Amino acid sequence: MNQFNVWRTVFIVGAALGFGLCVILLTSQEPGVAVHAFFVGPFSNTYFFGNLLASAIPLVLTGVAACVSFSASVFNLGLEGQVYLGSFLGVFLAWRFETFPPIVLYPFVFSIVFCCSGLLAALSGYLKIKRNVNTLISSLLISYIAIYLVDALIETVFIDPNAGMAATPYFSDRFLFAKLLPPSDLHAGLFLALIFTFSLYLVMKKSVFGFEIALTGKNPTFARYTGISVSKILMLSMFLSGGFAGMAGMIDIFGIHGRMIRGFSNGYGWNGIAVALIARNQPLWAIPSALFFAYLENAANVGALLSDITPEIARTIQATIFFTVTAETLFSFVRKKKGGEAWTPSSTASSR
Amino acid sequence: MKDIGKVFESNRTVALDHTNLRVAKGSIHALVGENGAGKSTLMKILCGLERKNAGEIFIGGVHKDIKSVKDAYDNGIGMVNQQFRLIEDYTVAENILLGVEKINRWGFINQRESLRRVQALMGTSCLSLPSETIVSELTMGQRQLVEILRISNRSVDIFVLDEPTSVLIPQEIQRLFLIIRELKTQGKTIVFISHRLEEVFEICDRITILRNGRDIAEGPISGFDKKQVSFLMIGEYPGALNTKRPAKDHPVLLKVENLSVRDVHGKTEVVRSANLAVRQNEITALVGVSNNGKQELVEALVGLRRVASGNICLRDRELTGKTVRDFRKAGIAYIPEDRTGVGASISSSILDNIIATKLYEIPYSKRGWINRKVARKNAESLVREYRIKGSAIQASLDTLSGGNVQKVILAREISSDPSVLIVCEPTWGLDHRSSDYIYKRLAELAGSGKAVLIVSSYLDEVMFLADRIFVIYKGEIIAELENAATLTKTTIGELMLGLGAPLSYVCPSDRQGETNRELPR
Amino acid sequence: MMTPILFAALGGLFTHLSGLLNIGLEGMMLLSAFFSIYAADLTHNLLIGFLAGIGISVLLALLMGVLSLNLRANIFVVGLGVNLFANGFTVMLASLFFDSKGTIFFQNLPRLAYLEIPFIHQIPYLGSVLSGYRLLDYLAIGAVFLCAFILYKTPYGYHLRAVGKDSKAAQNAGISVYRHRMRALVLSGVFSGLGGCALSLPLQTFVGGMTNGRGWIALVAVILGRGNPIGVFYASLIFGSASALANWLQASVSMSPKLLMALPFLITLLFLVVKKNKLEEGVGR
Repeated sequence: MNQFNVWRTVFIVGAALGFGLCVILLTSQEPGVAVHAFFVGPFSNTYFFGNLLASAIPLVLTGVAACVSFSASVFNLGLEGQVYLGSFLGVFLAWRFETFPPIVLYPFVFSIVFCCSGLLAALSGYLKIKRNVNTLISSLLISYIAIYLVDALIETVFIDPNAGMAATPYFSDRFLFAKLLPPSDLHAGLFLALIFTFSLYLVMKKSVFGFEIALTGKNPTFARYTGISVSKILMLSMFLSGGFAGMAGMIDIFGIHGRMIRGFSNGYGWNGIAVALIARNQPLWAIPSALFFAYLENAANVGALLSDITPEIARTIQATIFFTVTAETLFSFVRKKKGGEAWTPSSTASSR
Repeated sequence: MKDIGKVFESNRTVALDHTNLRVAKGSIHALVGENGAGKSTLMKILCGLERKNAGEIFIGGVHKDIKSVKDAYDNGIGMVNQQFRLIEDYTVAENILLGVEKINRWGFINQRESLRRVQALMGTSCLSLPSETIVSELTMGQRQLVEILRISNRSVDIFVLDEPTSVLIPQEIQRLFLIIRELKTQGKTIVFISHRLEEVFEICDRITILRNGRDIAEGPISGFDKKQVSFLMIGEYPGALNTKRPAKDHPVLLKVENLSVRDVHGKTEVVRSANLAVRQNEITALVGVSNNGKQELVEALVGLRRVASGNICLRDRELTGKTVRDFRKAGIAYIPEDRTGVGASISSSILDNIIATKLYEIPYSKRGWINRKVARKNAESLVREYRIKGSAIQASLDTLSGGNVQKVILAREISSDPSVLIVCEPTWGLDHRSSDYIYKRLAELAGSGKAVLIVSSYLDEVMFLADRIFVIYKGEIIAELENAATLTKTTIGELMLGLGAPLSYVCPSDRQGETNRELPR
Repeated sequence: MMTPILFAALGGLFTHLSGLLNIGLEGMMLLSAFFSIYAADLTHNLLIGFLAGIGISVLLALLMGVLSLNLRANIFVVGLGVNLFANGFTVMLASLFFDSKGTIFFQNLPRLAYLEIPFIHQIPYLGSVLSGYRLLDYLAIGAVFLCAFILYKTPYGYHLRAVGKDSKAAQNAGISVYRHRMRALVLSGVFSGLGGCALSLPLQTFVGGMTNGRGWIALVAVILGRGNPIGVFYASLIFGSASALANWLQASVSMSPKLLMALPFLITLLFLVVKKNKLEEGVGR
């Protein structure tokens, strides 16, 4: 990112935080405490800070997932479902193969989860190629279906009667990732996330495949003209995207929860999209971007814990960021063009 | 129009620099200049499609502020663009009345009144078209008529026609001239933008010459001759280009047999059992009216379109049904008509655009990983060789001017050392110097054992360059002509329209030895 | 049943025809659902409720318009933002005003009127199918015809569709592309507002996230309906029936409720797969 982009991002961050500040001041009876709890709270001790980092991990991965699909100009809106399915599958496999040693189980489960959630996303790509179904819509629909299916399974067949909520029984403890900063939730999955992100970065920047994805995203007609198989790129980018999303959920489960809990990953997908947008589809920038989002979430929770504000504030602020992200886009456009018409994708042409 | 200035923000080019234009009422005024001289821009400003940065417009002596298309219409100015702006799905009548539909008391559309208005219009201008046909079914010439009717409907006094003849065949051009003359007798004023001088001299009364965004000459057409105008337009005397090629029967490199291609929906055949042969050391031309299968045939030849039946062979190697990459590997390069939509990615860097087709090959990448250094080096040498001026190689393509973008595409395709180069509309949008450069390059390619296929709607260019001409009509190749001295544009035009003998015939070849042709200017 | 979807879909239809991809329907509906019921409860007046719901949707539509048309933001992103915002905002307000994040039941809300069509109502079987719905539902159906009329018989409709088909050509004919798109957005706000009202008012309840994907389904309905009001009507009917089927099955068959909720989505997907989707030139083949 060049210097201009950095300033823009700073602006977004500032605007969002400013908005949060206003909301707190308006809704809290003890604004001073609330503001402090909100803004500083997450850093105030290892517990909060560790949790902050832990909650950023899945966001990095879903952010990266969104980056891949957006780079190819494919709208993968099914991230939520892909995360959910991947998580459940991970839990299921962890039970089934309880007897495996972790060293064997991890690569085994990871690759299966990656492939399955990847295939779920790739299904949308396939439908686009064969039946020209809009990927935006199909990925969304498939995602909803997947979520309901998994929910149905969790609530009936796999339910843990002893749990106080809709959740499955725990799988074996030894599969849980090592905790890095007890008593917080931060776990070794952090390293996995970083490795994955960095690998994707390398692929996108330096490989022919990454070049093909980027070119397909910029002008698919031209990409085809140069000999790139656009359908292959479409499927592969969706596959990768879904795969990363599945990993996001799975790593979260293996790191923190140890079982499948209904709704645990709500918002991972949508926030991942926001992360990718702020990061301008650059995998490496997804890391600070995800950290920021996680910061907001945690700030609200800590704030709610330590003062009288409601945690929903985070949601509203995150949404405001979305708006300011679009304002960010406005800066680049205002600079380049003046006069003419707004960019208006028709629903068949640009969303794939 | 006085002292008009216009600068384009996107590539920082000065399009118009204190340009003046004076048009007398009731005259047919020619606005000439090379591609890029500013003719279209000037007129777009007049017609409300672009905003000027400086200067004033006077109509009938009164200062007018034209800020939108509606303002232009209110002032009696209407323009027919080079690319028609019609709604394909609507009927002729709907298009003519677009924006000023006839409504009845309750506010909704009065069909009867609409029809009556359209009939009246067609009556006064002596044109007739079936008013309920959908525009997508019309020919180019007919669409142009719809455009003319559309602006007539807005009570326009000043008709601006931007390169109206570029999509027409000779017969349609004559019909257009009749219409223009008729409009003149009705007291209308016509501004005729063109860079084809014989047409300008045939029909116009006065002329203004633009060069590099400035008006450099103006006056009655009788006061000029063609050579003078050329000189003023270009800034130098055009040399006669020598294309010496021995006339022989060359071996066929690319052979197309009984090729049939279906349309997008897979139902109707848009190309029917076409037979085509592109020979080594020759420049072959494919001509045809739009929507007759020309574009689809070309796309099939490079692998971009599925073939329903028939085959394509390059040097006896079957290519039918293979991927685009296979076609390229086999040695076919393609410069498409839509340069920026298909032939390049304007948001990518210049470097990316140059290497895109060869990236998967050895020097540029190894086992899937790109070697940026090699890519840069090769791209930079190409930029030097083709004299592509403008920006650093990492800059995005849209910082280059149109002519340079074309050079990038040209550089990329030619440097891949193809056996067959297929070029559509080779000099579209280029100025004189660049056009000459392209002609030279194409002739070089043909001379060095390659084959060139040009697809052009500019018949002068075709007659100048091609050794062999194939005519496509309604999806079939109905004629294969050798470019002999006896071949005329009218003959070709007739074939393109489907008149004239529908069998493969070859003009008696009375050329011996070398040919020395001069492009009519 | 299908009324909220139908309303939202009609709104989406206008933006679709103008060439915009408006995914903010979900968010607009949700905000309207909240504000309409809140205002109606506050003032004990249904009309105010309707106006409030429509008002907030239109406000958001204007915001979308300014961001995407004036400031050139990516409309897809803006739409997504609207959805996220609506989600968070409504829940936040719900917990602030009513101290509850779950279902909020408004007891004192004036009830919506029902309508019995005089003769049809007497016909034994058909009568119960065709008559006896709420005024709102009939309004929705009426709206379909109104939209069809506007789109195909008025100059405005022609111009709007022209903008969507070929904005350059429309501009050339003196039609203001910007104005039509803005108007389409506002109309989509009006209709999604109505959709939101139709969601919460009849049930006298507000639940966080109660739109539950209906906005997205509305979009799908627009595409399924091939961009014309009658088609949109049929598509909404299909989705409405699928939901109704799911509810009925839930009562009579003991399946996990979640599976049933997935049913409409599944049916939609199958429809999209089976239907012949218009191919684009060039890409793909």
